[in-house]
Order: sequence, then C-alpha cells, then structure tokens
Amino acid sequence: MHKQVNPLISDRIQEIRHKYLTQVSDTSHSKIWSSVSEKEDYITVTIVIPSKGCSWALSDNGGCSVCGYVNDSSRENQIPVTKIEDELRRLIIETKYNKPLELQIFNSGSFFDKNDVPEELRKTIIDLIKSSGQIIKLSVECRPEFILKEKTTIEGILKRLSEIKLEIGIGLESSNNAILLDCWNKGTTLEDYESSLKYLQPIGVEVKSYVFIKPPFLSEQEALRDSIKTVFDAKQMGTDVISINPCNIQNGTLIYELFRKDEYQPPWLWTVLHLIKIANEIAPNIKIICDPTAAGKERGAHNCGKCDKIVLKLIEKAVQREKLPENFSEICSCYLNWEILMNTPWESFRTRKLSKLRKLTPLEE
Amino acid sequence: MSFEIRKFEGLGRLGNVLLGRPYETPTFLNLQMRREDDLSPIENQDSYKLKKILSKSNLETFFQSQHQQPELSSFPTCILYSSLQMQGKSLSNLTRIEDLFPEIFQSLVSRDEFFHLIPWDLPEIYLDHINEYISTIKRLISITSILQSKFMVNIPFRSNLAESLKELIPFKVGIISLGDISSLLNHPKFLLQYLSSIKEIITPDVMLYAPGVPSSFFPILTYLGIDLFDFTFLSTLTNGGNILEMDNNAEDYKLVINRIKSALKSGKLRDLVRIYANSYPPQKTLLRMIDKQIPLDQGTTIYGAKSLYCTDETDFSRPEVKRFRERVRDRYRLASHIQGIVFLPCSARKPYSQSKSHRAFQSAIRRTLKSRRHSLAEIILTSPLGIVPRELEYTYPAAHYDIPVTGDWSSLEREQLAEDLENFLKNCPTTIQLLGYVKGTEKRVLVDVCKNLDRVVHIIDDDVPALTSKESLYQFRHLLTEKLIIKTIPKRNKLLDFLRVVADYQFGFGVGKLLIPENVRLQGYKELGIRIQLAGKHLLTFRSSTGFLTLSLEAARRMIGTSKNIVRFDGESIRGTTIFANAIRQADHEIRINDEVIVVNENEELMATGVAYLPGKLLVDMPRGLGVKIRQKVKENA
Repeated sequence: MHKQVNPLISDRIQEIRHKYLTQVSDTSHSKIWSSVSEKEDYITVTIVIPSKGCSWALSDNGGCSVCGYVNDSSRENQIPVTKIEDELRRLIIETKYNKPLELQIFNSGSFFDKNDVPEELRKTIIDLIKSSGQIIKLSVECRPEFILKEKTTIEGILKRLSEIKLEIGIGLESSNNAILLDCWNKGTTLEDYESSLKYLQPIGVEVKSYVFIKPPFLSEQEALRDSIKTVFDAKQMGTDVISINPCNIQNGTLIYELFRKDEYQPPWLWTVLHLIKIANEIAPNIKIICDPTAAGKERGAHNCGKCDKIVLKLIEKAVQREKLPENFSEICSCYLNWEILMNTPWESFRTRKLSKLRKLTPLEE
Repeated sequence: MSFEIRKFEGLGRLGNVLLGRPYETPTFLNLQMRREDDLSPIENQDSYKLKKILSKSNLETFFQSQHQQPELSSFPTCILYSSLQMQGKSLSNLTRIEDLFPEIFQSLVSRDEFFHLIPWDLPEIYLDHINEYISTIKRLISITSILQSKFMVNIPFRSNLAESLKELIPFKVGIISLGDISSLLNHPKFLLQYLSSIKEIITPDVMLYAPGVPSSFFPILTYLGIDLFDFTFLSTLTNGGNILEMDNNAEDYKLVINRIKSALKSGKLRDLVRIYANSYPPQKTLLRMIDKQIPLDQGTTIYGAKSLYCTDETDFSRPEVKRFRERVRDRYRLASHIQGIVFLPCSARKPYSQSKSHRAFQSAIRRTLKSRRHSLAEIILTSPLGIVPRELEYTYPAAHYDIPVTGDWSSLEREQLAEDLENFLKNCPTTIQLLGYVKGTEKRVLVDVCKNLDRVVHIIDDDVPALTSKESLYQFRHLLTEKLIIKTIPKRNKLLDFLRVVADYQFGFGVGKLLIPENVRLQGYKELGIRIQLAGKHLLTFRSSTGFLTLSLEAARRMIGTSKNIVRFDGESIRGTTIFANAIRQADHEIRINDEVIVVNENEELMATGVAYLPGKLLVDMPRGLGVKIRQKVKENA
C-alpha cells in the first residue's frame, strides 16, 4: 500500500523518534501490564503486551506525531512467549470470575502485523483464550493496512474463536485527510479506514473507532470541530463503538517537542466534555467510551486544576448518557475562560498567553 | 491599501490607512473569522443532519458568536480563515492561490477593502523548511495579478523567525501581527527584543498589530510603533491591579485610543505614556528600558508642543532633554572674547530673562560691568536640562520646560547637572574666570565640580537671603567688581553672537559663523523675533516662539556646502506648497521633524527651503504621505 506522508513533518518526527529511541534503547525491563475492571454485567481484563513495536513508528517515516507507545515496546529484546503465556494463564484461566469476561489485548501497534506480534505469540494467545471458557469477547487493535493485508489471519482467528466475539480497534483519529497527513503523520487515510470497516463488519467483526482530540497545529476550537466531524463520519460509516481519546503528551514525540516550546497545550476537559455531549447526540445508538489518560495532569487533558475531578465525573456521566447540568459556568469559573478561548478570533495566532488562560481568573460579570 | 504617516513621535505614528475608505490610526482591528464549511460531512445530504444536531446543542451559534465584542464595523477589517488542514488542504501540495484562500472568498481577496491573514501557521518545527514556505507564499501571491488586497502575517516571538520572514515583507504584506505580545507584557526585555527584531525587517509603511493587549498598554505600545489593537483583552481577563484598567469596557478602550490620537496631534504622546506607565510597574520598567535602549531621537521633533512637563525621573531621560544636553555639549562653545562666566539659577518663568529674578540679575550685571559685560557669558544651572547658555534660553525646550520645584534636588538631578557642568568646564579655558550667583544644591554642585577640576570659582555666601533680595544683589555686584578681572573690549553686537549660538545649536557647530556674517542687518527683538538681512536680501528669521531660525533661499545657498539637512527631490519643478514623501529620493538622516531643510534636485541645484514633516530616514522610506512643507522656492524663470 502506498503511504502518503508530508516530508515537512515526517522528517522531523523521524529525527525526534530516532534520538529518543536511542536514549531508551535498553528495553530489557519492558513488562506486561494488566488491569481488571468490573462493569455491571461483565468484567474487563486489559492486558498490554510489550510487542516488538509498531512498525509504522519504527519505519523511516517516524510514526504518528502524538504516539510514544513505541518507547515501551520490547523491540529487539523480545519477551519470551512463555512469559506472556504465564501471565495470561494466571489472569484468564487460573483466576475465576463471577461474570463473563471481556478480554482486551493491546500491543500499542497492530495485532495482526507479523513483525509486531509474531505468529507464535498470536497463536498461543488465541489457544489460551479458547481454553479459558470464561471469555465472551476479545478486543485487539490494528492499523488498517494490516487488516487489509492479513485477511486470512483474521479470518482464521475468527473461525477459531467461533462464538467468542472479536472487536478490532482502528485508529481513525480524524476523518480529515489533510489533518491525518499534516498534523498526524498517520500514514493512513479515511479511505483506508473505510475499506477496513467495510471488510470487517460483514465477516462479523465489531469495529471500534478511535477518535482523537486535539492534534498538533490546530487550535482548541478547530480540534473540537474536527473531532465532531470525525465522530459524525465514523457514525455514518457504521462503526460499532467510538472511543474518544484526549491527547496526552508522551516523551519522544513531536507533540512533546511542541509542548516543551509552548506551542502545544493538551485539550481542556471542557472540550472533551462537549465532544462527548455532542457525540451522544450525533450517534445516539453507538456505544461511546472515553477514558482520558493523564487527565487533570499537565500532560493530559486538564482544566484549571480546581475543577478537573468534577469535570472528569461529568465526562463519566456523559459517557453513561446521564443528564448533565445545564449551566457549566456554575461548576467552575474557568468555564468562562474556555468559552472565550472558543470565541477569540486571534486564537488563530496560537499565542502563548492563551495556553495560560486556564489558570486566570475570568472577568466578573 | 495604502498607509501614510501624519504625525510621528518616538516610534509612534498617527497615520492614515486607506482600505476602501480612510481610517485614522492608531485604531482597532476588526478580526472576522470566515470558515470554509469544515463541518460539512463527506456526503452532502448529511450536512443538514449534522447542522441540525449542532444547532440543537447550541454549539454552532456558540462557535459563531462574537463573545462580548463591541461593534467593530467602523474599524479596518482583517479576515481570518481556518487553518489549511481544517480546510482539508495539505501543506505539501499547495499550488494555487485558491489553496491558500477558499474560493468562496476569492471575490473578497480581489477587492481592496480588507486585510487577509495568510492562513498558514508556521510552527517552529517548520523552521528548517522556511524557504519552502516563503517561496510558496510568494509564488501563490505573485501569480495572481488580480489580487488587490494586502495581507497580514503573524510573526511569533521565536528564534530568527522575523529575520527569516524578511523576504516576504515586500510581497503585499500590509500588517504584521505580533501574536505573542500579550504574553510578553510583563517581560519588558523580551518585549523590546521582539519588537526590535520585527522593526528591523519591515519598511515603515507596514502596520503593526498587537492582539490581546489591555488598554493601559496602548499608549506605550503606540510609542513603540504599534498601530492596531483589539478588544480581545476585554473579554478575557482583568489585570486586577491596574487602576487604569478598572473601567474595563469598550468605551474606555476607545477613549484611550482617542487620547493617543490627540496626544500625537499635539506632540504630547510621551506625557500620556508616562501617565499610563506610572500605573503599572512593568510598564514603567519598559519605559525606562526604552529610554536606555531605543534610539528615539529620530522621532523627536525639533520643536513641538507649547510646553514640556518633566514630572518624574523618566522625563529626565526623555529624548527632548537628552537632545538638548547633547547639543549643548557638542555644539556650544564659548566665543573667543569671553573672559568670565557667571552661573545663575533658573527661574519659573521662561524664557529666563523675562522673569523678575533674571531681570534683577541682569540689571545688576549691566550696572556693575557696564560695557565690559559683553565679555561675560551667562550660564543657567537647571534641572533636567543641565546647563543652559543665556543665548539658548529661547530655544525649545529651554523656554518650554517645567518641573515640580520644592528646592530639594534628587540625586539624579544633581548627577545630571554635575555631569554637564563638568563636561562644559573641561572644555573651558582656564583663563576664564568663574563666578557663581547660586545657592543651595546648585552651589554645592558648582563648588564640587570646580574642586574636582581644580578651578577657582567665586561664589556668594550661603547665609545670604533670597537671591533677589537687596543684600544678595549687593554682594553679587561686589563679587563682580572685586573678584572678576574683565578688560574692556571693542564694542560688539551681542545680538549677532546670540544668533550664531542659536544657528550652531540648530545646524551644527560652525554653521553660525558661515550663515551670519558680520555685515548683516538685524531688525527686531529677541522677545518678538528678529529679521536678518544681508545686502538687502532676506537671510534668516529668528522665531522667538520656538527659539529657532528659519531659512530663506539666500541662507540655503550659504549653507548648501555643509550638506546638512539636504533633501533630494526627484521631480523637475515643485508645484504647490508640499513635497510628498514619494518624490524624495534621498535625505540627510540627521533631519528631524520640523527641521529646516534645503531641497535640491538631481543636479544639486537649490530648489526650495522648507520644513520636514518626518525625520530624514522616513522621508526616504515612506512611499507616500506628506514630506516637506515648502517655505520658499526658486522661481522658475529667475
């Protein structure tokens, strides 16, 4: 597949990536990370396995501008399959749960990419899932190009899983190809996403679409508008689940460099809240999930610092489609500042002052 | 779009921008956001659905509302567009002007009624590719001959960015936006760095726009050369501490702009700057740093407002004061026949010789020394001008300044006076005898300086009553007769010496002798004005209101050899009474506002004399606007 990149940006990303990965070249302590969370009628087990690393991020194009997950991958020091097997066995076979289990296996890359997740490992994982007997659904992630390339693998796995549902998460991020190209260096286009979706759904795979909020080089308002449009487009194309991901700043990425130079600020939680609120209206029948990473921290989506926890609660409520308060400005005075940010024409200049707007006392009415 | 400068002070300008209709600057910029419909989804029939959802959620109206913005239609307009990526266009394949400006706005671009912000954000990350950026923009703008509009470019405060964007300026850039200025307001050092990096690359016909600045900063930023402001700060935040921002409303913003305009018109911008700067410490810091770092002499008029008020310590370093002290240092020399100097205190009434005290001093000198008084120079010790020779007492600002007087001098005032006095006495031959008729601080400074320089100074006792009292004047006369040894010299025309000192001060040391020969005929009085004629022809006029000379053609002929204050005019003949800046090819960079200038043509032939509206550098650099007001011109057939 031909990948379109903008050398203006991909060269810079490649440079930053290369420099950082050389710094953290010792990957021997990469380990398996897991968490269990209990929902109303099922339990979710999330396992992040340190695979060899996303092949897009390790390519000459440098990978996505906001993603630093490749820093935690094992790369050359691949973790022995047995170690992962042991961990999985402990979590999904030896531990007994009182509710059905939804297993999420993330590798911060593409699950169906042979160079990222070796055939042997994938086979072991599927075997374990098969023998567990508690699992009703398996969630993995994959870039569109590997979905289209590894059709036989996917179909094979689907057959083996039989009654266990398969959900594949695809990073749509934005439905605007120019943003994918210039802001993201994503290497895929909306059309790639669409053909993956059109292929997966008929064979019975559920598609989860990742929608990102606030890529670099866009103002807060532009980012919100873009994400709204992306949610709408994803819904029109028929996605099953939409996962809204507010930006968090990871080391060794382009966005970190911008953040360091005061040229980028993570989105406000108000922006995230509004996005979910509107997404609920745009896609009333689609499941929307949002679990902001590093929320309330300087490197994640945050507000003034006083209302972060309250607004995070509101975001949770919004995801559950519960009723939200009418007047946000009563929750925290920084809401007024956010409104101003959304309305200021010179936000087009992306000045530094605006990044500090969160902390300032708004004008008394 | 065209921009011309009407008045200039410091770096500030009162201008006129023609953009469909004329607007007077400084003024506000009306920013209008125009969006390509970036929210319309892929399939067009769906766009209605999304819009409906958005309008239900109040978000679409929310995006479009002008939040708390006052009515802006009466100000020049700049149109902003969504960033290119939002328009679905990638930086890597821009080829047509339509890529830069959405097609629906093409009609706007081809009409010269708005500015347009070039919708290409330039993050630092792209600095390596700056040349591609510039060449693309140049290509896009230059291929479209129908383009009438000028553009606005945002230059953030980043390393070398201004220098790199230099090439772009001649390409229809009408405004430069100082995007980061609002975050630098409390950091005077960086603010000045930012401004001067931009000032370096632009021509004076480019306007500067400071977005998001509170109204209390308008005067000082105007003084630094900013022409356009906005109301954004109104809707964002309060500064809290600044008393001048308590009335944070649109009316107040407009009021400040009106004040700036009238201040510029009457040559009092600096006073307004001081008032506002005093309200907020970082602003005051900025003002002090401006005086130290920015050469403001260019933008300072030779004579201007009717009065010059020096009320705080920043006024001691204001350009008018600096210039007077420098010119006295460099251009004033004692005439060769002078045998003694008497130092006198200043008076509240100006010129000094019209005050009661100075009339008493002068009468005492006259009555004591009789005709010998012509060999005695009189120097007035004052603050903040330092030393004022009697001959320059009519000269702006010596006859126009005013300071708060309590009798106590600040250490800064003392230092300035001591510095000037020392400089003066160093160049003063030791044969010249010194006499001080001063008390208090002036006396102490005089004695200290003379002690340092090993000079003898005769001075009155400290315990005498007021200097105007009979006892004091008696002692003064006693000193004059007893301590000064002044020989009788041939009778001199003291008025001639006076005019030469003025000419030296005005045009440079030595010009006085050249311009005013011995055989001139003088008519009039110092107090009312003097007409100077040579062989029946009008040479010069001394104006007592400004204390300066005006040049006639005859005087210009005498002065042309010094190549001072020369303006080279492009045309063949001058019609009317004004030369516009576009017709001026070259001008002496030493020319200041209101300076007397000599207009010559390409062949170095004298064409006219006149008064400069703008400093010499701007006369050349400005592509339009008033240049020189003609006083006299050479008759065509003469």
